[in-house]
Amino acid sequence: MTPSAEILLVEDNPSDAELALRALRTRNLADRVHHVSDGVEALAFLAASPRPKVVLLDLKLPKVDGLEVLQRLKSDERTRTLPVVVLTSSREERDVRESYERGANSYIVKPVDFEAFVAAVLNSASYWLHLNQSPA
Amino acid sequence: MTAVSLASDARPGALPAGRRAAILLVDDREDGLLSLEAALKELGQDLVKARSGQEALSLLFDQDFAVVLLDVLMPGMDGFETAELIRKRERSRYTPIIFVTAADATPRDIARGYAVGAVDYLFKPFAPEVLKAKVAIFLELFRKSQELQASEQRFRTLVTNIPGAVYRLAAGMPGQALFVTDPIERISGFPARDFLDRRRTLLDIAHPEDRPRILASVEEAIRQRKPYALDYRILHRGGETRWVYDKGQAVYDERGNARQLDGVLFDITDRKLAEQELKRRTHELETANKELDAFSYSVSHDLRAPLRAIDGFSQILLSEHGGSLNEDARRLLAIVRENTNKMGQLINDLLEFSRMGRASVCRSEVDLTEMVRSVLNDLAPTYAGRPVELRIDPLPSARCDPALIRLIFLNLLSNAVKYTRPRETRRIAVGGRVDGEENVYFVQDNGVGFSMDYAHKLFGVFQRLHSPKEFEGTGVGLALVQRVVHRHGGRVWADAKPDGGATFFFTLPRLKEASL
Repeated sequence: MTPSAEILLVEDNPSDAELALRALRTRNLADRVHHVSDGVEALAFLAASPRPKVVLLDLKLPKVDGLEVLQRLKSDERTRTLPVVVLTSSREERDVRESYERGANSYIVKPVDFEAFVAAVLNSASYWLHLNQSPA
Repeated sequence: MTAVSLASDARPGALPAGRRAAILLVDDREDGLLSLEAALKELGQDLVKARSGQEALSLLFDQDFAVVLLDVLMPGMDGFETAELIRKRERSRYTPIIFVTAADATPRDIARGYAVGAVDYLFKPFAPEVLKAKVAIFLELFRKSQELQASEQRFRTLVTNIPGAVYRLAAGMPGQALFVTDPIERISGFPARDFLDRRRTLLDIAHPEDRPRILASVEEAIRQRKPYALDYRILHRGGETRWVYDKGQAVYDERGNARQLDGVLFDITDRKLAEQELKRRTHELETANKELDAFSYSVSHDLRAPLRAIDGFSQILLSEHGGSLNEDARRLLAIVRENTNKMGQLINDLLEFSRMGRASVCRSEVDLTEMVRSVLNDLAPTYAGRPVELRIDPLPSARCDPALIRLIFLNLLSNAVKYTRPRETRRIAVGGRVDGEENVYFVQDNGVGFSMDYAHKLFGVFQRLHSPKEFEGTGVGLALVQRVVHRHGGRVWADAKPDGGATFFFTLPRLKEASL
């Protein structure tokens, strides 16, 4: 448990999760991340803990999938304004559209190339943690 | 029966001019017959003589006469009795009879004559001119009626020769048949007389599920004063379901009410079955295609995650533990990464290809000359070191999807750049022209070319004509080009020689705005 997490990483693939955490570690952001592996855990975490600054959300998740997590967060008064970044392997126009229609704040396709992947995770994290201003 | 013969048959005077009508003269006395004959000779018709009622009847049995001149006073069967028998027979029911009688005939006799069917009376001694004039009138009537019969027969033959069931129904339900031709038996298994005898209606043989639709169509057509035309199923007497095409229209009375429905039924079962088979196969193909696309998408998609892990962890291994690895281990890891990248590219291309199969084509008028310039501009960095001699002829504009057509030029032009690499002077030419209903475009280079023996493999997915050592690539580019061209309704082909350059052609149909 990382009660004061600023980033909630929702990722079921352990390799992708580790790569993302390692990327964040290079900027000393690793201890500001809480990682969960499915939609149910993500919703439970958000219901019980102080809200993070951003949620990095994979779409293909066991149990409750990413789109449904997004839908629930955006239709709940308490989490409606929480920034959600979809971080997925899917380039499908259908997924991009669905995500935005359900209120995603950003949509990032995970690059296969590791360096590009690291850059994508770090750029996104630093934008939402340092540049962006969200309502309290 | 052809239209030509119909037209010539339809001339007035169907009875050939040379053919004569027959007139029957009946008198037991030779002088009576002779005086009739003398009076009528000039008419130029066949004068047939009978000396008794019996003889007259037997002649009438075999032949049609324009008119019968019948003496009233004859021994044995007299004129009245003969006339009654003539009237009773089907063949002679309407043959005109003129009684020839003595001047002293009583009004009662005359009344009796008319009662048994006389059309006229002639009193002896008669004036030959009067007799001739009267008979001439009946001759004319006979000719007219013959013509009418011939004409009726012609149209009846025409109607019955139509290979569909021609019908006339009483308007209003249940649509009793007033007329229907024999092909109805072939179509439904029931003879035409079943319908004429009111044993069943045409609606009775229609498939119950289709009846409401038939009624609705006919009612709507009557309401709009238009013909109706529809396909529906009928239940054949033998039990099987057959398809018919039914086209007809209502006939209206002077008050505008529909009185009858005139139409034709055609058996279209064979065509319908072929259509259904075609539909089924098309559907199967579409489904198979969709499944294939979904499969290739999901495969490509799910392959990316492990690939990212391979690339990521070997990179981490190199950066975090590179110091403890020897030169060879680092070289091997570099090969792992290089192959990971290749596979990544392959998956990307495959995804792009799969997406292309599903993307909808959004057409607009596109300036293709401008597009070629822009694509070459994007490609400039790839040939910056070794300039290319470019020739861009004006290309006819086309109604097409700009994003998709851009992929065609991107692939063809980057191929041209790639395969001219070994050339001292690299030349690429692009152009196009209008050719009838389509535009033909080409991209030509003076590169390494290929043997036309392999031309059939050119547009297949993952088909390559060069080794990766000579030229890099995944073998998806031209497959993509072909897919885009086909989705636009065009064709694509190539012409090349080993070491003699290559020219790729593709066509786009010329579409008008309205046909989109």
